[in-house]
Amino acid sequence: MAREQFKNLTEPMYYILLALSEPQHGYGIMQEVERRTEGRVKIGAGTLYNLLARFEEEKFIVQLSEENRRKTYTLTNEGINILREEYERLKLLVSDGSDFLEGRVE
Amino acid sequence: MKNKTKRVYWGFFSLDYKAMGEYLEEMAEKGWMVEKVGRYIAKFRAIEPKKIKFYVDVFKEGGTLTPEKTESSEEYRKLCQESGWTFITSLDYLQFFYDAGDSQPVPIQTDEEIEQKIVEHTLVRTELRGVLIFAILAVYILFRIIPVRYTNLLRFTGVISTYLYPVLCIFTAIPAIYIIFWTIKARRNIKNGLSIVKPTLKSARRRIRAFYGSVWIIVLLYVLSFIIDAFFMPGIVVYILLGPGIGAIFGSSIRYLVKKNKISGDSVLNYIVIGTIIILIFIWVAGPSILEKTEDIYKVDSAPEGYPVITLEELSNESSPRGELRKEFRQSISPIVPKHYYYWDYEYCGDSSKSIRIKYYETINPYFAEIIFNGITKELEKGMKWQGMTIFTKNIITDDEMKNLWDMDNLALTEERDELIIQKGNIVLHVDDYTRVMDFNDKEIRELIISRFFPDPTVEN
Repeated sequence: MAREQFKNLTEPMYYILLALSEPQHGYGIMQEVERRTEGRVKIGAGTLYNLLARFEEEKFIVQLSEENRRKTYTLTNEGINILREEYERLKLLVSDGSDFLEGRVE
Repeated sequence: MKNKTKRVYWGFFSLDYKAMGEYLEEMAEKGWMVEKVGRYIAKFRAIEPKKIKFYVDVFKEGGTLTPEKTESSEEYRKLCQESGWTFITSLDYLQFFYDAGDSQPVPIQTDEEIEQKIVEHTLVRTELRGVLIFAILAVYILFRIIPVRYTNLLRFTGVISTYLYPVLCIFTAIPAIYIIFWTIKARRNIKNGLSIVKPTLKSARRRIRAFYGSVWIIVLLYVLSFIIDAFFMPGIVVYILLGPGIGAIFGSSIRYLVKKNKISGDSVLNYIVIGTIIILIFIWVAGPSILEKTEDIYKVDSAPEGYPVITLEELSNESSPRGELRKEFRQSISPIVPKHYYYWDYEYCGDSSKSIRIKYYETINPYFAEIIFNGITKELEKGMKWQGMTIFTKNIITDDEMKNLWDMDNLALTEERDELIIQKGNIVLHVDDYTRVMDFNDKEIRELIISRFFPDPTVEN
């Protein structure tokens, strides 16, 4: 049931998981998402904290270390699968749209 | 200037947390920086007036019996700190931050759906639980005060409870209505892709005034009533306040110790159970002795002037009492029964005793006198409950001929004719003559009682 909630990832969820392709701590994730999206996607500390807790609960991410109340996380295989599924879904969406939309634009 | 602080009434509904930030910004512009927020009072420190951005967030952990600092709350606050929000203080689930460096940090919550879910799991659930507990308590109390009990009309607190408690219940329904309204609107907004409900400071203030303004007035009236009642019934008032008083001190101590991490949250329930047992035993042991000690307060030599009574001396044929005499007098006032008193005349003779008990009630209106009359007769019929048994039940008879003879609006007698309850206009008299020193059929006794307690206002003394 909980897995169903992540069938379609929201933009922040997608980028948080993407940012965790390398081990990161909370604030590092926020910076990484902002860097990757060139400031388009910004994640608040409260939202990030709650999403990390949910991802950890679902075993999409795992805690690697903790230092001075700063936890470092990384993706698990389950997390990679979720990310891949979302990537495939987004690709399909783009592909379905491009046949019509890009043709019309041209 | 630096050390100057002030305390301000807080009273915000927790669901108005977004309006709290606006209020704190307003205060900072006036030169006051928030230091600590309590349920009813917030503490501010004087600063140079300036624009400061505040953020009030809802954290998933919190509540009355959750420590201020937990591992997860510290981790969350550190993350907020790193993103530019400096933690100030917390109140249950609410976390107060400000932007210390004008860096315009990213808002703490950037996902409305997640935020709404947290709020529903924390604030809405807690508020609804509180409302539910109050509703159960309110129904129980309402059943105890409605229909109107005559004993409640005799005390200020009783009158306030009878007539203002239902009003208090209506006012406390305001938060419940607001919570339901908020939740429906928040869910609808999220579903439609809109932002979560953001109340304005003006509307939050309006709710504070509407709810707490009325509630505090009623609470103040309750406090004043207790003080007035304490003058006339110190023992009973102390007895009534003993439980809530000790309970409040005990509860606050437990809360303080949990908040400061002196005791763990897991063991709180054990402390509460043990504490409650100790308090109940203490009240059970100390209660009767408190009431007993106050008995002496009511011992008198004679009833004060203006409070007519019938004494054993005037009914006795003997020139001097045969045994030990004891007299007790207690009086009280209430807004509905401004004059009522109890007088007990008792002569202990060893082989036989004599006693007269008089209860006099003067109400502001005959309607209330009738409530008292009916209440006394019903009370006598019901008797007393003791160890699962009903004792001292009396059969009440009404004698119309006697009522006409006495010229009363209402008259009732016990079947044994040892108790008489009469009401005329706004006066009710209850004479308890269980040692049978009087004969209520006797003309002299009738005239004595009528002339003493129901004097004809047209005849001047």
